[in-house]
Order: sequence, then C-alpha cells, then structure tokens
Amino acid sequence: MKIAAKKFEGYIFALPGFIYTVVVLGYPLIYNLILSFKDLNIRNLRSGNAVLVGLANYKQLFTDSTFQLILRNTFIFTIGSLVFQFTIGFILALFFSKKFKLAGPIRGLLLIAYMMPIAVTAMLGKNIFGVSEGLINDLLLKMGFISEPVQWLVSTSTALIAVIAVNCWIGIPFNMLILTSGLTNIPQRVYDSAAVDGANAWQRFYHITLPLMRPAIMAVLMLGFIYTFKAFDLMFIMTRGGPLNSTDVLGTYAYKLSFTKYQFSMGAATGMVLFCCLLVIGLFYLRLIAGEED
Amino acid sequence: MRKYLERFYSITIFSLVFMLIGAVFSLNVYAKPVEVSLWHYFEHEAEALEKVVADYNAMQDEIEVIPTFVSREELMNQYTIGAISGELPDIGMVDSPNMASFVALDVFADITEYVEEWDDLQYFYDGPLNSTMDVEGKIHGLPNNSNCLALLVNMDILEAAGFDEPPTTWDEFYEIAAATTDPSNSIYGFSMSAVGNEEGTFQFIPWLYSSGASVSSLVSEKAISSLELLTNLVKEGYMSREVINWGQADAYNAFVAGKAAMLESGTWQIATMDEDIDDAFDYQYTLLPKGEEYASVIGGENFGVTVAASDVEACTDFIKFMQTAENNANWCEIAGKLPVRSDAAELKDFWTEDERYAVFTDAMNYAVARGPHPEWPIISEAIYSAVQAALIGEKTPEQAMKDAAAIINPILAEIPVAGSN
Repeated sequence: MKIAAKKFEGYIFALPGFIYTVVVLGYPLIYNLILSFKDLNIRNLRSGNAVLVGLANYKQLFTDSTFQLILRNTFIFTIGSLVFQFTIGFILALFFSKKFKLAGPIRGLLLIAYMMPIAVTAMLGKNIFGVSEGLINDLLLKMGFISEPVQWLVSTSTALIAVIAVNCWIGIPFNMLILTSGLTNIPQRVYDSAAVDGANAWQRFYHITLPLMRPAIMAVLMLGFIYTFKAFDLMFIMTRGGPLNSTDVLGTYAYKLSFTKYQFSMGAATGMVLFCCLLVIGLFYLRLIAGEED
Repeated sequence: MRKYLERFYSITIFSLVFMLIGAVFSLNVYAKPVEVSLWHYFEHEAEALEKVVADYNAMQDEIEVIPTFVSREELMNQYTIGAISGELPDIGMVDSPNMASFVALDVFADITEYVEEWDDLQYFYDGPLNSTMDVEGKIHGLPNNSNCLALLVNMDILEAAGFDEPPTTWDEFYEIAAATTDPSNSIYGFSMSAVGNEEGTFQFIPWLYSSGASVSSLVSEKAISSLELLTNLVKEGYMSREVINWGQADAYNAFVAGKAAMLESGTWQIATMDEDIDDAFDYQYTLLPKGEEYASVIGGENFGVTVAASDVEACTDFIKFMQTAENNANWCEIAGKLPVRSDAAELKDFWTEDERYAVFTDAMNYAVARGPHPEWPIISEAIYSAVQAALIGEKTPEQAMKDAAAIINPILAEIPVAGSN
C-alpha cells in the first residue's frame, strides 16, 4: 500500500509540469500543426470553412524559390554565427582563464553585449553598418581595406554578413561564459603532470583541454544552434528581412506570411518546419545529456 | 493541526472581506456608463484625439470612451490575432488601405444600418469613404482624416544650383536632382522612402500613376518608365541607395537636416516641419512632378467599430460625433491633416490660406486610393519588392515590373479593386 502510494506520489509531483506543458506548449503546437494542413487565409477565415489540404502547403513551400532562399539563409545564418561565436568565444575563454590582473572584471565587461536587449543591439548594428555614415565603412576606408563604401544592408549579397556579424557580437560573451566555466572545472594538476611528462602547449590543449571540455562544448553548440536558428528580433529590427528576403529567416518569414499577407496556413507550415528542425537538434541534445549521465 | 485550521479560517475571512469590497465597487460601477475601449496609434495628434473623447464623455452618460495608444504595427497584429481569438477593442483605428483586409477578416462590424440614414454621410469624399466599404458596399467605419503626397523643396539648395522654381515635370525634376546633388557634402538631389513595407508602396504609387499607368498595368511601357526614373536617380547617385531601408520619417529627417534638396513629403509632416527645420533654410511645397499627368496618393486613417463591441450602435454614435463637420475640421487643423468631408473643408480657410496646405488640397484632386482590396497587402508587397529590386540593381525595371505583375494580375482578375468600375 505504502509503495503504491509512493509510486502515485511521483505522478502527482509531475502533474503540474505536465499540465503546464500541455496547456502552454501542447495546445498551440497541435493547433498550429492542424492549421498547417488546412488552407486558412483571408478569404475563408470569416466563413470558417477552410478545407484540409494535407501536405499541399508543405509542397508549395518547398517548391517555392523564396522559401528555398529563406531555408538557405537560416542555415547560413546559424552555422556562420556559430562558427565565429564559438571560435572567438573559445579563444577569449582560454585567454581569460589565465590568472592575470583584471581578468575577472574585463570578462564581466564583455558580458554587457550579451545583457543588452537585442532591439538595442539591432538598432546599433543598423547604424554601424550604414553605407555613407556607418562606423564600419568609415574604419575600413580609413585603414585602406576598401576604396569605396560597402553597400552592407542595402545589398542582397552583404546584408546577411552584416546581420551575422552583429549576432556574433551578441553571442561571443555567452560562448565565452559557458566555456570558461568548463575550463575552470579542469583540475590544474592534470596540466601540471602532463607538463612534467613533456607535453607541449598544443598537446596539452588537444589531449587534455578538448576532451575534458567536450560536455561544455556540446552544450554551448547545441544551445547556440537552437537559439540562433529561431532568430527573429535581430533581423526584424535591423533589416526587416530585406532587402528582398536576403536576411529573412524561418522566424521572420513565418511572421510575414501570417501577419502581413494573412496566409495563416502557410505561416503555420513554415513554423512547423522551424519546429521540426529544432526538434531534431533538441532530441540529439537530450540523448547526449542522457549518455553523459549514465 | 489547529494552527493550520486557524490559518485556513483567517484566509477564508480575508477572502470574504475582499469579495465584499469588490462587490461594493462593482455595484458602484454599475451606475456608471459602460466603458468602451478605443485603440489608436496617433502620436503628435493624440492630444487632439483625447480632447474629442473628453467632449463626448462629458456630453452623454451612456458610454465612456477610453483611448489607448498602441503602436501601429502592434495594433495591426492585434487585429489579426483578434480575428481568430475575438480579443478586440470596441473601437479601433486603422490605416485606410488595410481596412479592406480587416473587414474581410471580420474584425470590423457592419455599421451600415446606423449611418445610412445619417444626413452627413453625403458630405464625405468618395475616396476615403470607399476605403471603409466591403465588396458589397457595406460600410464598416468612418474615415477620420486624409493626407496625400507632394514635393517638398529646399529652396536654398535649389537657388545655389541656379534654379528659382521647383520642378513641374519629370525632366525638370531629374535635371534639378542632378544639379543639386553634392557628394562632397553628402547632399542628395532627392529623398524618398522605398522601404519594404506599405510606406514604400505608398511613395511609389504617385510615380506609377503619373506615368499614366496603374496598378493593373505594371508591364506597360509607361509603368516601367516610372520605375526607370527612380532607378536612374539611384544609379547616378542623385538619390541614396539607402532609401530602401528608409521609412518616410527617415527620408524626412534627411531633408530637415539639409541632406536632400527635394523630398516626397506627406501632409502630416507639416505639423512638425517649422520646428525641425528651425529656419535653417527656406522651403516650398509643390505638386509632385508630372510625367504624363499630375498624380498623388491618398493616405489616411479610418475608425471602425469592431465585432467585439457590446453596443455597436453606441460606439457608432461616438465615431459619428468624432466626424461631424465641426469636429473633423477642428481635429484636422490641430493634427495637420486634411478633412474627409467637403463641408468640413469649407468651415475654415486654414486649408486654403496656408499655402503649404493649399498644395495638398490641390494634390487631392490628383490623388488615387490604394485598393480597397482585401488582398492589398500581397499586392503592396509585390510593388515594393519590385521597386527595391530595381533600385538596388537586382533586376532591371522591366523585369521587376513583370515579376510584380505576375503576382498582382491573377489577384486582380479574381477580385477587382472595389469601386474601380
């Protein structure tokens, strides 16, 4: 009897979390999924007789050249951001894990970029990458790297680069923070004994730091991917997805479909594509964590 | 255990007391008029709006209107969400070309029965009033104000370049834009908004219609020539390429800072102009230059009663009050807008005496409406995308117009623009 009650108790504790998930996440998710199989748009919202069209919305999306561009943008944005954020973040983490004067305070200052609201960062980015009066062009011109201003946010070929650059600026401190905490968990004596055995700096990094940092590295990459892949506010404020969809990602495109073109079902389908990509990464991450706990 | 019981009792008693207080308050409210929410996105005009509302609230005790500012984009989103969830204000403001979509989404109630007997209705101008109607001609709101576009010229820059008069034709306009451009001081000959939203479309429409073309004839030679004109300005450096990221306020800021010789400017900008320019230079308004004909575009806001309103008739009564000839005239004078009814325009000599407004009053004769069409947002996106693609050199003007027509023509074939025939 007592054991049964104990077992029951477990479910009771899980219940609030379960209800919360169902109400707050499950309902909109399922509603969105159903919506993506329908054909709900401005012409039939009022009459309420949107028909089920199966996978037609998805088919239309994946054959649409704009959507293909947006899918490509999303991956370029995510991977481009991750590579630079991670590399620079790691270098900074290694640097600041050295014990020198003011290492702590300076590391703290770097976090300001991360704490700033993205709307503010995006506005700053918009000004910094201005063509005629932007800081970046001014610097590059003065240092002689370019002979005429780069068209940054007003050219389809450079706008995404500028957005990635701003996103890196936001992401580097976050990467640095997580990686630093990973580094401080590696005991100094491991390095000491390796040094005694004659390992040079590169060998120490490659054979000690990297393997021992693996959990932290995976965590920062996974979280970074999820966070970057669903980006919205940065491009929404910096470029509105323009010029000509060149900085649109799945998040902004789904918004545009639903809120400016009233193609609700297409917007829902785009949202589902975004969700599925993240679900795969999320499951992968969960498995990874489970593997480590065993 | 007893301790817990005591706590339980005290909580119960507290709750009861609170409920009692609540009940007393709600009884009190019961005697008051019904509260009606009104959502708007007026900024410098908000004070004028609050005055009309206060007058109305003092005048009757049936409803009490409570205005709330919601940013324009947020408000549009709220209507879209409200179309599904039903969470809507009682009265809402909407940009006129968007009204048809929200009527189609069933956001605004049909108020035809409360206004068709209203004598004043005959005085409303057709363009603004049409924008409140659905395909069947049912009225879903009342227009509040009108505005249109004209050309604003920095006379100091023009005179320095050897021109005494603002341009009247495309050729003169192009010549002046070329002559006034001064890269060493980063002064451009012309500034407008070609941003990727409704503002970009709004600013392009006059050029399109001035060429003699229309939204339904984008592949015509005339339509292409209008886009070519603007594209050449950017190509030659007479207009900043950054206009594709500029809203109308950004273009205006460039002008008041003396960084543009000419600006495609809206009526509402008069309200803050003198203060912003601060006598730094002389300016003059004139009609936008003429291709084949003069052209402008109608902008403005409407107020509608939403389907969520508990008393549509009472709410309609308020928007009728707001739009009486006298109130409309007073309001538009303070807010720097054009009235929406002919008898209001006659009440004051403001719109004819002030020569800046006189230009806009004249421009209204040539101004075209956008839509009304429930799928205007899609049409609009096709237009501003074409303009952007041509301005940044991604497509030729001809190709850009062809691509836009490929989106727009099938939509217009299915549902033509209401009131166009």
